[in-house]
Amino acid sequence: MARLGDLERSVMDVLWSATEPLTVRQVHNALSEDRDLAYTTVMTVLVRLAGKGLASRQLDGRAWLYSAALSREGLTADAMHSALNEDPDDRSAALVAFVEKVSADEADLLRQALADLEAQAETAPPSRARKRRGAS
Amino acid sequence: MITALVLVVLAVVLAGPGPLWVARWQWLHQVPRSAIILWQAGAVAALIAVVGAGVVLFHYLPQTHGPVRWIVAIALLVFIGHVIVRLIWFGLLELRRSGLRRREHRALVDLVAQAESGDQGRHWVLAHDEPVAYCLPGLLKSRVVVSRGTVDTLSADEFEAVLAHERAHLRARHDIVLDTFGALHKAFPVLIRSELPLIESRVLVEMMADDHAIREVGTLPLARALTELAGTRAPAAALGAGPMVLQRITRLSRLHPQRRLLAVGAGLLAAGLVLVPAAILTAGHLLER
Repeated sequence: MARLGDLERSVMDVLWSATEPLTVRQVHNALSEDRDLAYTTVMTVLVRLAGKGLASRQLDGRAWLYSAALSREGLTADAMHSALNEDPDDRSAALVAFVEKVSADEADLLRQALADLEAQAETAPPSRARKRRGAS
Repeated sequence: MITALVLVVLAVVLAGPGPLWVARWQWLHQVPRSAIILWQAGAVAALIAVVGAGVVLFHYLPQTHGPVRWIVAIALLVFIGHVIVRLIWFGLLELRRSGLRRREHRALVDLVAQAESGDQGRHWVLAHDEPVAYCLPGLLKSRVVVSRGTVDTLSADEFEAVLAHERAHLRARHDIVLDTFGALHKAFPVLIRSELPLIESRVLVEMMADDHAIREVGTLPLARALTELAGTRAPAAALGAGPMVLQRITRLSRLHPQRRLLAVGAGLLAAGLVLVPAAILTAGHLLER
Protein backbone atom coordinates (compact mmCIF):
# COMPACT_ATOMS: atom_id res chain seq x y z
CA MET A 1 0.00 0.00 0.00
CA ALA A 2 2.87 2.37 0.81
CA ARG A 3 4.24 1.71 -2.70
CA LEU A 4 0.92 2.65 -4.20
CA GLY A 5 0.98 5.93 -2.27
CA ASP A 6 4.50 6.67 -3.56
CA LEU A 7 3.35 5.91 -7.09
CA GLU A 8 0.38 8.22 -6.79
CA ARG A 9 2.71 10.98 -5.80
CA SER A 10 5.06 10.28 -8.73
CA VAL A 11 2.18 10.18 -11.20
CA MET A 12 0.77 13.44 -9.84
CA ASP A 13 4.22 15.01 -10.12
CA VAL A 14 4.25 14.06 -13.82
CA LEU A 15 0.76 15.50 -14.33
CA TRP A 16 1.64 18.68 -12.46
CA SER A 17 4.77 19.31 -14.50
CA ALA A 18 3.00 18.62 -17.81
CA THR A 19 1.73 21.55 -19.87
CA GLU A 20 -1.08 19.59 -21.52
CA PRO A 21 -3.17 16.47 -20.80
CA LEU A 22 -1.20 13.23 -21.10
CA THR A 23 -2.02 9.72 -22.28
CA VAL A 24 -1.26 6.75 -20.05
CA ARG A 25 1.61 5.94 -22.43
CA GLN A 26 3.14 9.40 -21.95
CA VAL A 27 2.89 9.16 -18.16
CA HIS A 28 4.38 5.67 -18.31
CA ASN A 29 7.27 6.91 -20.45
CA ALA A 30 7.98 9.81 -18.09
CA LEU A 31 8.04 7.47 -15.09
CA SER A 32 10.04 4.71 -16.82
CA GLU A 33 13.06 6.98 -17.12
CA ASP A 34 14.20 6.16 -13.62
CA ARG A 35 12.34 3.00 -12.73
CA ASP A 36 10.88 -0.19 -14.09
CA LEU A 37 7.08 0.06 -14.11
CA ALA A 38 4.37 -1.93 -15.84
CA TYR A 39 2.09 0.03 -18.15
CA THR A 40 -0.96 -1.47 -16.46
CA THR A 41 0.27 -0.29 -13.05
CA VAL A 42 0.44 3.29 -14.29
CA MET A 43 -3.02 2.90 -15.78
CA THR A 44 -4.39 1.58 -12.48
CA VAL A 45 -2.89 4.49 -10.57
CA LEU A 46 -4.31 7.02 -13.03
CA VAL A 47 -7.78 5.48 -12.77
CA ARG A 48 -7.51 5.58 -8.97
CA LEU A 49 -6.41 9.21 -9.02
CA ALA A 50 -9.33 10.07 -11.30
CA GLY A 51 -11.64 8.20 -8.89
CA LYS A 52 -10.31 10.27 -6.01
CA GLY A 53 -10.89 13.47 -7.95
CA LEU A 54 -7.19 14.30 -8.03
CA ALA A 55 -6.89 13.73 -11.77
CA SER A 56 -9.43 14.48 -14.47
CA ARG A 57 -9.66 12.66 -17.75
CA GLN A 58 -11.19 13.29 -21.14
CA LEU A 59 -11.62 10.97 -24.14
CA ASP A 60 -9.55 11.97 -27.16
CA GLY A 61 -10.45 9.63 -30.02
CA ARG A 62 -9.77 6.21 -28.45
CA ALA A 63 -7.36 7.24 -25.72
CA TRP A 64 -7.99 8.79 -22.34
CA LEU A 65 -6.07 11.99 -21.66
CA TYR A 66 -5.23 12.68 -18.03
CA SER A 67 -4.48 15.97 -16.33
CA ALA A 68 -4.24 17.15 -12.72
CA ALA A 69 -7.68 18.16 -11.47
CA LEU A 70 -6.27 20.18 -8.58
CA SER A 71 -3.09 22.19 -8.47
CA ARG A 72 -0.31 21.31 -6.07
CA GLU A 73 -0.62 24.80 -4.58
CA GLY A 74 -4.35 24.32 -4.04
CA LEU A 75 -3.83 20.98 -2.28
CA THR A 76 -1.05 22.46 -0.17
CA ALA A 77 -3.40 25.27 0.82
CA ASP A 78 -6.01 22.62 1.72
CA ALA A 79 -3.48 20.82 3.92
CA MET A 80 -2.54 24.11 5.58
CA HIS A 81 -6.15 25.03 6.12
CA SER A 82 -6.97 21.73 7.74
CA ALA A 83 -3.83 21.92 9.91
CA LEU A 84 -4.58 25.46 11.04
CA ASN A 85 -8.25 24.70 11.45
CA GLU A 86 -9.48 26.03 14.75
CA ASP A 87 -13.09 25.19 14.19
CA PRO A 88 -14.65 25.26 17.66
CA ASP A 89 -17.11 22.54 16.64
CA ASP A 90 -14.29 20.15 15.92
CA ARG A 91 -13.29 19.38 19.49
CA SER A 92 -11.33 16.31 18.45
CA ALA A 93 -7.61 16.52 18.81
CA ALA A 94 -6.88 14.93 15.46
CA LEU A 95 -4.47 17.65 14.44
CA VAL A 96 -2.84 19.79 17.08
CA ALA A 97 -0.52 22.58 15.96
CA PHE A 98 2.74 23.34 17.80
CA VAL A 99 1.25 26.62 18.91
CA GLU A 100 -2.15 28.22 18.44
CA LYS A 101 -3.14 31.61 17.13
CA VAL A 102 -3.35 34.46 19.61
CA SER A 103 -4.86 37.93 19.60
CA ALA A 104 -2.66 41.01 19.22
CA ASP A 105 -2.82 41.72 22.97
CA GLU A 106 -1.85 38.18 23.77
CA ALA A 107 1.03 38.39 21.31
CA ASP A 108 2.32 41.38 23.31
CA LEU A 109 2.09 39.37 26.53
CA LEU A 110 3.93 36.55 24.81
CA ARG A 111 6.79 38.81 23.71
CA GLN A 112 6.96 40.25 27.22
CA ALA A 113 7.23 36.76 28.71
CA LEU A 114 10.00 35.92 26.24
CA ALA A 115 11.86 39.12 27.15
CA ASP A 116 11.62 38.19 30.86
CA LEU A 117 12.96 34.74 30.08
CA GLU A 118 15.86 36.13 28.06
CA ALA A 119 16.70 38.59 30.83
CA GLN A 120 16.63 35.71 33.29
CA ALA A 121 19.04 33.77 31.07
CA GLU A 122 21.35 36.80 30.82
CA THR A 123 21.77 36.92 34.59
CA ALA A 124 22.06 33.16 35.03
CA PRO A 125 25.56 31.95 34.11
CA PRO A 126 24.80 28.76 32.09
CA SER A 127 23.38 28.59 28.56
CA ARG A 128 23.56 32.18 27.44
CA ALA A 129 21.33 33.33 24.60
CA ARG A 130 22.77 31.98 21.39
CA LYS A 131 23.36 33.96 18.26
CA ARG A 132 20.45 34.03 15.85
CA ARG A 133 20.73 32.76 12.33
CA GLY A 134 18.80 34.45 9.51
CA ALA A 135 16.47 37.39 9.72
CA SER A 136 12.68 37.84 10.19
CA MET B 1 -27.68 0.60 48.79
CA ILE B 2 -25.79 3.22 50.81
CA THR B 3 -22.56 2.03 49.22
CA ALA B 4 -24.02 2.52 45.73
CA LEU B 5 -25.28 5.96 46.63
CA VAL B 6 -21.91 7.01 48.07
CA LEU B 7 -20.15 5.71 44.95
CA VAL B 8 -22.45 7.60 42.60
CA VAL B 9 -21.98 10.79 44.62
CA LEU B 10 -18.23 10.22 44.41
CA ALA B 11 -18.46 9.78 40.63
CA VAL B 12 -20.45 12.99 40.29
CA VAL B 13 -17.94 14.89 42.44
CA LEU B 14 -15.05 13.51 40.40
CA ALA B 15 -16.77 14.48 37.15
CA GLY B 16 -17.91 17.97 38.13
CA PRO B 17 -16.66 19.94 41.16
CA GLY B 18 -13.44 17.95 41.62
CA PRO B 19 -11.82 19.14 38.40
CA LEU B 20 -12.79 22.76 39.21
CA TRP B 21 -10.71 22.48 42.32
CA VAL B 22 -7.74 20.60 40.86
CA ALA B 23 -7.50 22.87 37.81
CA ARG B 24 -6.53 25.70 40.18
CA TRP B 25 -3.41 23.87 41.30
CA GLN B 26 -0.79 25.79 39.37
CA TRP B 27 1.99 23.57 40.67
CA LEU B 28 0.69 20.71 38.54
CA HIS B 29 2.03 22.55 35.49
CA GLN B 30 5.52 22.04 36.90
CA VAL B 31 5.17 18.29 36.52
CA PRO B 32 2.95 17.69 33.47
CA ARG B 33 3.59 13.96 33.25
CA SER B 34 2.46 13.32 36.83
CA ALA B 35 -0.35 15.82 36.42
CA ILE B 36 -1.72 13.87 33.44
CA ILE B 37 -1.57 10.71 35.56
CA LEU B 38 -3.49 12.50 38.31
CA TRP B 39 -6.22 13.57 35.86
CA GLN B 40 -6.35 10.05 34.45
CA ALA B 41 -6.59 8.67 37.97
CA GLY B 42 -9.54 10.97 38.60
CA ALA B 43 -11.28 9.63 35.51
CA VAL B 44 -10.48 6.02 36.38
CA ALA B 45 -11.71 6.54 39.96
CA ALA B 46 -14.96 8.00 38.60
CA LEU B 47 -15.38 4.99 36.33
CA ILE B 48 -14.62 2.50 39.09
CA ALA B 49 -17.18 4.29 41.25
CA VAL B 50 -19.83 4.12 38.51
CA VAL B 51 -19.23 0.49 37.61
CA GLY B 52 -18.85 -0.46 41.28
CA ALA B 53 -22.17 1.18 42.09
CA GLY B 54 -23.78 -0.77 39.28
CA VAL B 55 -22.44 -4.08 40.55
CA VAL B 56 -23.50 -3.34 44.14
CA LEU B 57 -27.00 -2.37 43.04
CA PHE B 58 -27.50 -5.48 40.95
CA HIS B 59 -26.36 -7.49 43.93
CA TYR B 60 -28.76 -5.90 46.42
CA LEU B 61 -31.73 -5.18 44.21
CA PRO B 62 -33.54 -8.47 45.03
CA GLN B 63 -33.48 -7.58 48.75
CA THR B 64 -34.85 -4.09 48.21
CA HIS B 65 -38.14 -3.13 49.85
CA GLY B 66 -40.34 -0.04 49.69
CA PRO B 67 -41.08 2.30 46.76
CA VAL B 68 -38.53 4.99 47.65
CA ARG B 69 -35.68 2.53 47.64
CA TRP B 70 -36.84 1.16 44.31
CA ILE B 71 -37.01 4.62 42.75
CA VAL B 72 -33.52 5.50 44.03
CA ALA B 73 -32.15 2.18 42.83
CA ILE B 74 -33.65 2.54 39.37
CA ALA B 75 -32.50 6.16 39.05
CA LEU B 76 -28.99 5.10 39.96
CA LEU B 77 -29.07 2.23 37.46
CA VAL B 78 -30.26 4.54 34.68
CA PHE B 79 -27.40 6.93 35.41
CA ILE B 80 -24.82 4.14 35.49
CA GLY B 81 -26.07 2.54 32.30
CA HIS B 82 -26.14 5.93 30.62
CA VAL B 83 -22.50 6.65 31.45
CA ILE B 84 -21.26 3.21 30.42
CA VAL B 85 -23.12 3.16 27.10
CA ARG B 86 -22.01 6.70 26.29
CA LEU B 87 -18.42 5.88 27.14
CA ILE B 88 -18.31 2.91 24.79
CA TRP B 89 -20.21 4.72 22.04
CA PHE B 90 -18.29 7.99 22.17
CA GLY B 91 -14.98 6.27 22.79
CA LEU B 92 -15.28 4.32 19.56
CA LEU B 93 -16.67 7.32 17.70
CA GLU B 94 -13.88 9.61 18.88
CA LEU B 95 -11.15 7.15 17.92
CA ARG B 96 -12.72 6.52 14.53
CA ARG B 97 -13.21 10.18 13.76
CA SER B 98 -9.73 11.35 14.64
CA GLY B 99 -8.19 8.29 12.97
CA LEU B 100 -10.08 9.03 9.77
CA ARG B 101 -9.18 12.69 9.78
CA ARG B 102 -5.50 11.93 10.31
CA ARG B 103 -5.48 9.31 7.55
CA GLU B 104 -7.04 11.70 5.06
CA HIS B 105 -4.63 14.41 6.05
CA ARG B 106 -1.63 12.09 5.82
CA ALA B 107 -2.59 11.11 2.28
CA LEU B 108 -2.69 14.80 1.38
CA VAL B 109 0.67 15.48 3.02
CA ASP B 110 2.25 12.50 1.27
CA LEU B 111 1.01 13.86 -2.03
CA VAL B 112 2.24 17.43 -1.75
CA ALA B 113 4.84 17.73 1.02
CA GLN B 114 8.57 17.30 0.56
CA ALA B 115 10.27 14.83 2.90
CA GLU B 116 13.49 16.22 4.34
CA SER B 117 16.01 14.54 6.63
CA GLY B 118 17.31 16.11 9.80
CA ASP B 119 19.62 14.88 12.53
CA GLN B 120 16.85 13.08 14.39
CA GLY B 121 14.75 11.79 11.52
CA ARG B 122 12.61 12.97 8.69
CA HIS B 123 10.05 15.74 8.58
CA TRP B 124 7.66 16.78 5.83
CA VAL B 125 7.64 20.31 4.47
CA LEU B 126 4.59 21.98 2.95
CA ALA B 127 5.38 24.68 0.40
CA HIS B 128 3.51 27.51 2.11
CA ASP B 129 4.63 30.83 3.58
CA GLU B 130 2.42 30.77 6.65
CA PRO B 131 4.30 29.14 9.52
CA VAL B 132 2.76 25.97 10.93
CA ALA B 133 4.09 22.87 12.67
CA TYR B 134 2.21 19.80 13.79
CA CYS B 135 2.42 16.04 13.87
CA LEU B 136 0.40 13.20 12.44
CA PRO B 137 0.45 10.34 14.93
CA GLY B 138 0.19 6.76 13.84
CA LEU B 139 1.59 3.34 14.55
CA LEU B 140 3.83 3.12 11.49
CA LYS B 141 3.36 6.18 9.34
CA SER B 142 3.67 9.00 11.83
CA ARG B 143 4.93 12.30 10.49
CA VAL B 144 6.17 15.66 11.69
CA VAL B 145 4.87 18.29 9.28
CA VAL B 146 6.07 21.89 8.99
CA SER B 147 5.56 24.58 6.39
CA ARG B 148 8.29 26.34 4.44
CA GLY B 149 7.30 29.45 6.40
CA THR B 150 8.35 27.70 9.63
CA VAL B 151 11.71 26.64 8.19
CA ASP B 152 12.39 30.19 6.95
CA THR B 153 11.25 31.97 10.11
CA LEU B 154 13.14 29.99 12.72
CA SER B 155 16.82 29.75 13.48
CA ALA B 156 18.41 26.29 13.45
CA ASP B 157 18.07 25.64 17.19
CA GLU B 158 14.53 27.02 17.33
CA PHE B 159 13.57 24.69 14.49
CA GLU B 160 15.19 21.76 16.31
CA ALA B 161 13.13 22.64 19.39
CA VAL B 162 9.92 22.48 17.35
CA LEU B 163 10.90 19.12 15.86
CA ALA B 164 11.85 17.75 19.29
CA HIS B 165 8.49 18.90 20.67
CA GLU B 166 6.53 17.23 17.87
CA ARG B 167 8.57 14.04 17.99
CA ALA B 168 7.82 13.82 21.72
CA HIS B 169 4.08 13.88 20.87
CA LEU B 170 4.57 11.06 18.39
CA ARG B 171 6.78 8.92 20.58
CA ALA B 172 4.64 9.15 23.72
CA ARG B 173 1.39 8.81 21.70
CA HIS B 174 -0.14 11.92 23.25
CA ASP B 175 -2.93 11.59 20.71
CA ILE B 176 -4.20 8.51 22.58
CA VAL B 177 -4.13 10.43 25.86
CA LEU B 178 -6.21 13.23 24.32
CA ASP B 179 -8.64 10.88 22.57
CA THR B 180 -9.21 9.07 25.87
CA PHE B 181 -9.98 12.29 27.71
CA GLY B 182 -12.27 13.29 24.84
CA ALA B 183 -14.21 10.04 25.14
CA LEU B 184 -14.39 10.22 28.94
CA HIS B 185 -15.61 13.77 28.76
CA LYS B 186 -18.48 12.80 26.50
CA ALA B 187 -19.35 9.76 28.63
CA PHE B 188 -20.63 11.84 31.54
CA PRO B 189 -24.00 13.60 31.23
CA VAL B 190 -23.76 17.24 30.17
CA LEU B 191 -25.21 18.54 33.44
CA ILE B 192 -22.51 17.24 35.73
CA ARG B 193 -19.46 16.92 33.57
CA SER B 194 -16.64 19.41 33.53
CA GLU B 195 -14.67 20.41 30.48
CA LEU B 196 -11.61 21.04 32.61
CA PRO B 197 -9.97 17.60 32.42
CA LEU B 198 -10.11 17.85 28.63
CA ILE B 199 -8.72 21.39 28.57
CA GLU B 200 -6.06 20.62 31.16
CA SER B 201 -4.97 17.43 29.39
CA ARG B 202 -4.40 19.43 26.21
CA VAL B 203 -2.22 21.96 28.02
CA LEU B 204 -0.38 19.24 29.91
CA VAL B 205 0.59 17.15 26.86
CA GLU B 206 1.96 20.33 25.27
CA MET B 207 3.99 20.95 28.41
CA MET B 208 5.26 17.37 28.38
CA ALA B 209 6.43 17.82 24.80
CA ASP B 210 7.95 21.19 25.80
CA ASP B 211 9.91 19.49 28.58
CA HIS B 212 11.31 17.09 26.00
CA ALA B 213 12.32 19.98 23.71
CA ILE B 214 14.00 21.70 26.69
CA ARG B 215 16.04 18.58 27.42
CA GLU B 216 17.06 18.17 23.78
CA VAL B 217 17.61 21.77 22.70
CA GLY B 218 17.11 24.18 25.60
CA THR B 219 14.59 26.56 27.10
CA LEU B 220 15.35 29.71 25.13
CA PRO B 221 15.14 28.23 21.61
CA LEU B 222 11.79 26.71 22.57
CA ALA B 223 10.48 29.98 24.01
CA ARG B 224 11.57 31.89 20.92
CA ALA B 225 9.98 29.33 18.61
CA LEU B 226 6.71 29.57 20.57
CA THR B 227 6.71 33.35 20.30
CA GLU B 228 7.58 33.45 16.61
CA LEU B 229 5.14 30.78 15.52
CA ALA B 230 2.15 32.01 17.53
CA GLY B 231 0.32 33.56 14.62
CA THR B 232 -2.14 36.33 15.28
CA ARG B 233 -5.84 36.01 14.67
CA ALA B 234 -8.85 38.23 14.84
CA PRO B 235 -9.80 38.84 18.50
CA ALA B 236 -13.40 37.75 17.84
CA ALA B 237 -12.76 34.04 18.17
CA ALA B 238 -11.64 34.23 21.80
CA LEU B 239 -12.46 30.97 23.57
CA GLY B 240 -11.83 29.64 27.03
CA ALA B 241 -9.25 30.87 29.49
CA GLY B 242 -6.67 32.46 27.22
CA PRO B 243 -4.25 30.70 24.92
CA MET B 244 -2.26 27.70 26.06
CA VAL B 245 0.92 29.22 24.70
CA LEU B 246 0.89 31.93 27.38
CA GLN B 247 0.65 29.32 30.12
CA ARG B 248 3.43 27.37 28.45
CA ILE B 249 5.84 30.27 28.11
CA THR B 250 5.28 31.76 31.57
CA ARG B 251 5.86 28.31 32.99
CA LEU B 252 9.30 28.20 31.35
CA SER B 253 10.56 31.03 33.55
CA ARG B 254 9.21 29.43 36.70
CA LEU B 255 10.39 25.86 36.40
CA HIS B 256 11.24 24.72 39.90
CA PRO B 257 14.58 23.01 40.48
CA GLN B 258 12.97 20.54 42.88
CA ARG B 259 10.05 19.54 40.75
CA ARG B 260 10.81 15.85 41.19
CA LEU B 261 9.28 16.13 44.67
CA LEU B 262 6.13 17.65 43.22
CA ALA B 263 5.97 14.77 40.74
CA VAL B 264 6.07 12.28 43.62
CA GLY B 265 3.32 14.23 45.38
CA ALA B 266 1.06 14.20 42.33
CA GLY B 267 1.77 10.48 41.83
CA LEU B 268 0.78 9.68 45.42
CA LEU B 269 -2.41 11.71 45.05
CA ALA B 270 -3.23 9.79 41.87
CA ALA B 271 -2.75 6.45 43.60
CA GLY B 272 -4.87 7.61 46.53
CA LEU B 273 -7.63 8.77 44.21
CA VAL B 274 -7.96 5.38 42.54
CA LEU B 275 -8.02 3.70 45.95
CA VAL B 276 -10.97 5.79 47.22
CA PRO B 277 -13.76 3.97 45.32
CA ALA B 278 -12.05 0.65 45.98
CA ALA B 279 -11.98 1.46 49.70
CA ILE B 280 -15.67 2.45 49.68
CA LEU B 281 -16.55 -0.81 47.93
CA THR B 282 -14.61 -2.85 50.48
CA ALA B 283 -16.00 -0.95 53.46
CA GLY B 284 -19.52 -1.30 52.12
CA HIS B 285 -19.04 -4.99 51.59
CA LEU B 286 -17.75 -5.52 55.13
CA LEU B 287 -20.46 -3.37 56.75
CA GLU B 288 -23.44 -4.80 54.91
CA ARG B 289 -22.45 -8.39 55.49
